[in-house]
Amino acid sequence: MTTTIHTEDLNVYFERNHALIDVTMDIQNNQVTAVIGPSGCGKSTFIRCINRMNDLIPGCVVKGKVLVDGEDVNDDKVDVVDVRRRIGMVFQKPNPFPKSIYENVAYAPRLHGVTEVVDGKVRRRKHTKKELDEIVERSLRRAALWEEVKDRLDKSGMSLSGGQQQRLCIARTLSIDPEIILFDEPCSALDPIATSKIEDLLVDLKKDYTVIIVTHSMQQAARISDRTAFFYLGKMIEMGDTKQIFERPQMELTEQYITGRMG
Amino acid sequence: MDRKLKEMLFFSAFRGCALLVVLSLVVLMWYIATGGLERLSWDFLTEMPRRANTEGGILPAIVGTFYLMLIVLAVSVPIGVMSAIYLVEYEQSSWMGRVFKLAVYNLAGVPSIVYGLLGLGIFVAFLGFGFSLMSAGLTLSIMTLPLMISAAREAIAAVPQSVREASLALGATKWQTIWHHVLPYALPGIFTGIILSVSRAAGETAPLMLTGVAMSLQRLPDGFFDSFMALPYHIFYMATQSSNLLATRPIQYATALVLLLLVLGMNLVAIVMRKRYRDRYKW
Amino acid sequence: MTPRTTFNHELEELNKEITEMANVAKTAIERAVQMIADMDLSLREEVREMDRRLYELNERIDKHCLDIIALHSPVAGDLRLISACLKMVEDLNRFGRYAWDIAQIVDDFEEGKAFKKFESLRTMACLVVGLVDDAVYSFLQRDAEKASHLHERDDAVDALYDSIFREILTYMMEDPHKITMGIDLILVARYMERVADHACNIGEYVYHMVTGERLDPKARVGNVPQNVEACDRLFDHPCPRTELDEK
Repeated sequence: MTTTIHTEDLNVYFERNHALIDVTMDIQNNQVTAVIGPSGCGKSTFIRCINRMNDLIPGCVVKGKVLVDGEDVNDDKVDVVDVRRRIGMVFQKPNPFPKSIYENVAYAPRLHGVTEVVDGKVRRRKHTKKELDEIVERSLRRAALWEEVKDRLDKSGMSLSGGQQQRLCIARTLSIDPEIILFDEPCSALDPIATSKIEDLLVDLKKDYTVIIVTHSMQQAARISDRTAFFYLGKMIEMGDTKQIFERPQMELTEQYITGRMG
Repeated sequence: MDRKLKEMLFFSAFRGCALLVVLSLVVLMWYIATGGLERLSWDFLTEMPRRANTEGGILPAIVGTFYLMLIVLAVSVPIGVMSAIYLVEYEQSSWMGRVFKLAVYNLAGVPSIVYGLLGLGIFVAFLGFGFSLMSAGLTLSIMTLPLMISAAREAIAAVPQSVREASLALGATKWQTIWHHVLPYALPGIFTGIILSVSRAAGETAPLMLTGVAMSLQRLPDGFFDSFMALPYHIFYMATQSSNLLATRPIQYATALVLLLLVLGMNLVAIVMRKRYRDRYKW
Repeated sequence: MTPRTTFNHELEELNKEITEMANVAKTAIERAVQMIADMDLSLREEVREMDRRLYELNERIDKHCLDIIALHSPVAGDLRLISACLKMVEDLNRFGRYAWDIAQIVDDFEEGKAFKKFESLRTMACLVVGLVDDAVYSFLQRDAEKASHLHERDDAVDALYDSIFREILTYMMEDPHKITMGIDLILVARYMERVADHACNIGEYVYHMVTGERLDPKARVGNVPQNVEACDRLFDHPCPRTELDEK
């Protein structure tokens, strides 16, 4: 099992608020890693460091290293656009664009075009209609949404149900074939049935992608993740195999949290 | 007091106030229509004024006002929208942003005659545009800018942050995000801003008096640096300066009616466009 | 896509494991009884091997159940299944221990001695194997009806144990040389009686698992007279193993 993401002494400050304190951890390939912890413990902040979404927040300072395949995403030489292409993200609230289902999925491929090498030269061109159709179908299938929407691809993404919208967002993320997908509480706005569909999908996705999920439901972390990290007050308290965390946590705090005895 | 009665009373008060607005519009329209309809004719719209405006049509005034609206559209919309983007997307909570916002609010409160003075000073005299359409149009543009900016700013800020995040997370740059998502989704709101500011510009009189409006012209302006007539000023002139106020009353009303129709027509176009965009991007 | 794929998968795995364990436990008892009945010492190693296997499976299933509880929070039927499994593994494990104990005792016997003639012990073995068979069968088939009737046959086993005890006591009083062997035989009978009790426990768990209700405790005290010849009937029913292997 190779390490895909390695953070070292990661610190994040929002103005004067020290949101993440010395987080050092390894996240492995083709696994589901869950990040749990009470609200405001820095778990969202943590995964937002990985694809540099924290850049968007004024007054946010990130210190320390986030190595993805050995490369520091915060390095000056690294293009943030490349980082976000390689590391997809799905958000708490389903946020499809108010466009057709097709356009939602085709947006990112269209944006980036095809990079190919012709006669030893790197060249960028637009996708053909056929290529786009293929990408859209493949992504929607992978997100287990194709069968439900194949007859109404031109309908607005907003016309879908919450769970479908969230799967549409996942398909949209898959459309540019990232290596890592970050999920920021993807089920918190969904009903239980939609939730279990997404959960199944996540487990399925780990065959091809490295999946990191922030969740405030520890049952969810237990159900779907291979490894679990517990955050509390900006610090990573404990990380280990999910079974170990839920059966014999090493830290008192972890036990208190997962047994629901935290003040 | 009885709770139910109280409830009724307040509800009636609210409804009464709302009805008052509709009522005033209806009365206004009726008043102007009855006064001006008899004078309104195709000739009135297409002919030059004659005999110190007491006869003939108001074509130069219509054209002048139309040009003013065009200038305002061309100047204030792009500047307003771009400033709004800058405010919302780049300087949301910085020190610069706050200063900028304060400036916009204050500009909105400046009386129009002061803008007229400003136009006179800058465009007419300093930049040498003379008493012309250009000076008046630019003055009106500056005057409507705060309106435009706050409408566009609200529209842009109303686009959910989640849409921006979605786009950025897919690897779009900030500019691509704004261009592909934020602006299209904010368009309906921006159209509202356009309606408001252009209507305001069309009805403004005071700044025009200082920047080049003419009492009466027998010809259309031959360019943006020519002097011109404008509908509101025409009304003002006919109602206060004319040799025979009573005889020209129908002309005043008819002109007012034309001005109203022009503004309402502009609004209608904007409303239709707004509707189209809103349907396309249904939340 | 049926929801909760992982959970369903885990339950299937657990089901496979417990099926294997039940089959191994049943076979172990059968082999041990066969050893006594036929004095076939060659089976000894097989029985010991099965005991070790049962011990492993016990550990594994126990852990697996805890994993499922910790990670998947099972409820309703799933919860009862897990609870039944957790308790059953103990009983199935005991089957292995008793089979091992019986094998141990047979070891002490001098080859081929005397007890081929000992008919009542063979009858008891028949009954016990039938009981174990049915207990395992009722679990695998989720058959509450069958599970609820195991107690009645347990009483027959108890009665048989009493008579065997007295019979051997008589032998031992007649001839002190037979005391060692007599005690060994009483122990074998005792082990088999215990096996029958554990089979009944399994019946209780199965009943609870399937119906969600506890088996009426009065069923335990009822002293239903049992026909020893029922032994033939017990072996008559189609061997569940073949059906289950197919499953």
